[in-house]
Amino acid sequence: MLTRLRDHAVELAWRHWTALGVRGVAPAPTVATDLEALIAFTPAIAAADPRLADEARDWCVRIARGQVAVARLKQVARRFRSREDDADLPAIAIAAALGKRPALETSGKSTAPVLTTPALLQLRARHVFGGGTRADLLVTLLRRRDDRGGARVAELTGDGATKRNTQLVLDELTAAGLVERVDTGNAARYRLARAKPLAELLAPIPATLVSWPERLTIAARLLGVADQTASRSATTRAVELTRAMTELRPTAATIFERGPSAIGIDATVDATERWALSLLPL
Amino acid sequence: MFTPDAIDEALRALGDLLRDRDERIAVVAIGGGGLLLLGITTRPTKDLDLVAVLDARGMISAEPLPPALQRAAADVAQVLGLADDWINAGPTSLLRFGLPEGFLRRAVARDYGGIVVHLASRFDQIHFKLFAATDDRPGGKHHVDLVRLQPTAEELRLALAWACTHDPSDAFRMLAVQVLAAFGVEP
Repeated sequence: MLTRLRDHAVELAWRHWTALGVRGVAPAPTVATDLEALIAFTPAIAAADPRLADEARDWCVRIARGQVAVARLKQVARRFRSREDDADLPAIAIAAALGKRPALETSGKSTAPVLTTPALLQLRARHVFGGGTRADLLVTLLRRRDDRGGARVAELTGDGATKRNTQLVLDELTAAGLVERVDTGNAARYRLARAKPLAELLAPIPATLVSWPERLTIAARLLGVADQTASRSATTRAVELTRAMTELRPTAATIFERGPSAIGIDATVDATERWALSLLPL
Repeated sequence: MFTPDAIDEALRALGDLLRDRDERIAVVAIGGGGLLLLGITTRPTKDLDLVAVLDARGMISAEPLPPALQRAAADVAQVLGLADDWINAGPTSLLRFGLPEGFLRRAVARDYGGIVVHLASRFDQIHFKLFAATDDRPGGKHHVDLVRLQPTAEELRLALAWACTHDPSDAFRMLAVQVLAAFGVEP
């Protein structure tokens, strides 16, 4: 059930994992990779492609250190309601990133990411500006560079960051002239003042920049519903997808998505799947 | 509004859902929804009226609907875009003064998996429709349904006797007799 979504999600994950250095032959993604979101999402499709799960585990055990932002991964993984056991991919990646390399037998095929790969903008920024809020914030501002109205601090506070810390970094970047503050009524909004030089510094910029945690959370939740209702009637599947969408609408709203709208059992399943597919550009 | 296909689809969905939830509920339906399901009329109706829930004790009040049925009906309503009360216990007060003798024996059972719907027979629907038509305007939907049921004179007289047990007032009897007169039947 939701076979198209599952196949698409597996293809998406292969593309990003391959870009990160997992052994594979997937085409390069046209969309910027989000490492922590990818790690948190991969367990949702592990059963559909055990080899992908194995290779992702190998990458996490051997390569994660120096690449993964631990605080952010912890926060992103919570969105996915990941199991908190040591066998879970985020837990493995966190242990490895903290230098406690898990005693797991893996394929050993993964290699370190080539940071000039366009999709690896996030890792490139972390290597240029240092790990932490600053690099991820600049990537977020770059993603929103066409929004000339700017964004509020809350909108720019990413997973694993605090609003206070984000505000501090924004103040510093504003003082340095890279970011400008626009006061709209009572609210301060921020936007890049010098998007072009920043983009040139971090080039090559991938064709598409999206916020992955929300999109992958939605996909994981819907695939979970499909798994849970696999042996149930189409009605139960449609009802549970509708229920899941009710829960997911606030998440969808944060990426300016309204969610599917359909009446009928097959129409609900179909519309939900088509909408979820639209959230996952390759 | 329910067409015959739409009401059948809604009940199939409801039955699937209840079966998936390991529930098995039996209900007794009357009214326009029941007539649609029996193919007696094609007049669209807005809901399915339940007069009773059937369990080991026999027919019991459908008010309130069993919680599992309420939940499943709400879920079906959301997915199919139906009104919240698409299945309701509106006429269950009829149970208080009794349904026509032998009602359940004549009812037509439709099994939808997790729900079995016992549909009032044509004979019993004549009783309910006469009762409803007496309070309805001439030419109203209950009159139209009663015409579609093509009652015989004897059936109308039996229906009148039953209806008067539910409202023994002279005024009601007088109005009901007028409905019979429209069919050319004397009490």
